[in-house]
Amino acid sequence: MYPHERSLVKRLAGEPFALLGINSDRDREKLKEVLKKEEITWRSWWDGGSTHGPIATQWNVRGWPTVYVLDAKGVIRYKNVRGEAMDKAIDELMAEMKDGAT
Amino acid sequence: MKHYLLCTLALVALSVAAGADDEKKAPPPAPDTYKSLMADFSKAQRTLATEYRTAKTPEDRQKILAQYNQVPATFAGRFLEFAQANADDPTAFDALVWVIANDADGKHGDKAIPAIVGRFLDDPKMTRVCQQLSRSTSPAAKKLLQAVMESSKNVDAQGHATYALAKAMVGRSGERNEKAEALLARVIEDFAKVNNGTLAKTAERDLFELQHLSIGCEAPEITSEDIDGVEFSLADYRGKIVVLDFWGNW
Repeated sequence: MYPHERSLVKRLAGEPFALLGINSDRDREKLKEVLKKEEITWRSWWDGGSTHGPIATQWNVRGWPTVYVLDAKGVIRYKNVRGEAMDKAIDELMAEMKDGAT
Repeated sequence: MKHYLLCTLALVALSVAAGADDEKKAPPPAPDTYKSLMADFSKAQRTLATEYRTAKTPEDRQKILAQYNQVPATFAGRFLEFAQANADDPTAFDALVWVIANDADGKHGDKAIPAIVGRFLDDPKMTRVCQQLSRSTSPAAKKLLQAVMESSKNVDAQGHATYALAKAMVGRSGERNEKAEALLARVIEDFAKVNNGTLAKTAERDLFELQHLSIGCEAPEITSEDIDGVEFSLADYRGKIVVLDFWGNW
C-alpha cells in the first residue's frame, strides 16, 4: 500500500487532491516512527488506538484497508478501489472537475 | 479458487460440529450412519485435496479442482436419502442443513426445504443454522432463510434469517438498496432483543452504511485529532478530490 500511496501523492502534488488516512493502530508513538520510516507525508486522523474507534465504527469499517473516494463536493463516488482502479477513479474525477470548470 | 476451497472446508467443519451435538442424546444407529456419511465425505475431499497439492501440471490441478468442487453435489443425494430414511432422528436436521448449505445446483437443496420447514422450522437449533447459512451462496439457503423469516416461531432464528437475507441482497456495488434497507429496519425494530441486542446494533451500522455511505451520498463529516494531536476536519478539504484510507500498520 505505502509505495502506491506515496507515488499517488507525488503524482498529484499541486492538483486539487488529498489523501487522508484514518489510522487504527494501537501505539501512537510507534506509529510516528512508521510515518518517518515509510515516508508517510499525508495526514491521518487518529482513531483512538483501536479498530473499534469512533470513526471506523461510524463508517462501519470491518476490513482494513477500506477506501472511499470523494469528489470535490464531498460526495462518495467510489468505494474500495485499489491500485490501478483507484488511479483511474481519481483521474476520472479530476477530468470531470476540469470539464466543469471550463 | 483457494477461497472456494476454504469456504467448503468451513462448511464441512460446521456440519461436523452440528452433528456432534446430537450423538450424545440420540441412540444409534442413525447417528452412526450420519457419522460415517460425514467421514466418507471428508475422506473424498481430503483425497482430492492431496491430489491437488501433488498435481504436476496446472491442467491436472484444474481437473482435480473441478472434481473437488463436485464432491458436495455428489454427496447431497446421499445426505438427503439419509434424512428421509431417518426423519424422526435429530441428525435428520443436520443432514438437511448440510444439503441446503452444500448443494450448489439446488436440485437436492430444493427437496430438503419442505422436509426442514415441515419438521424443524421452530427448532431452537435453527438459530445457529441461520447464522451459518448467512455465509452460504446456495439458492436453497436463501429459500430456507426466507421461510424462517416468514413463519418460524423461533424469534432468534427469525432475526438472524432477516439479517442474513438483508446482507445477501447488498452486492459489492456500494449503492443504496431499498429492499435490504427495509429488512435491516425490521431487524432493528422487531428483533431488538436477539443476541442481547447485538444483532440490532450490527443492523444499525449496516443500515447507516447503506443510507449514508453509499455511492452518491454526501460523506459524513469527520472532525478529530491527527496523529500529533491537532484537530482537523474533512470539510477543510472541500473543493478537492479526497481519498479516505482506513489503515493500520499491521
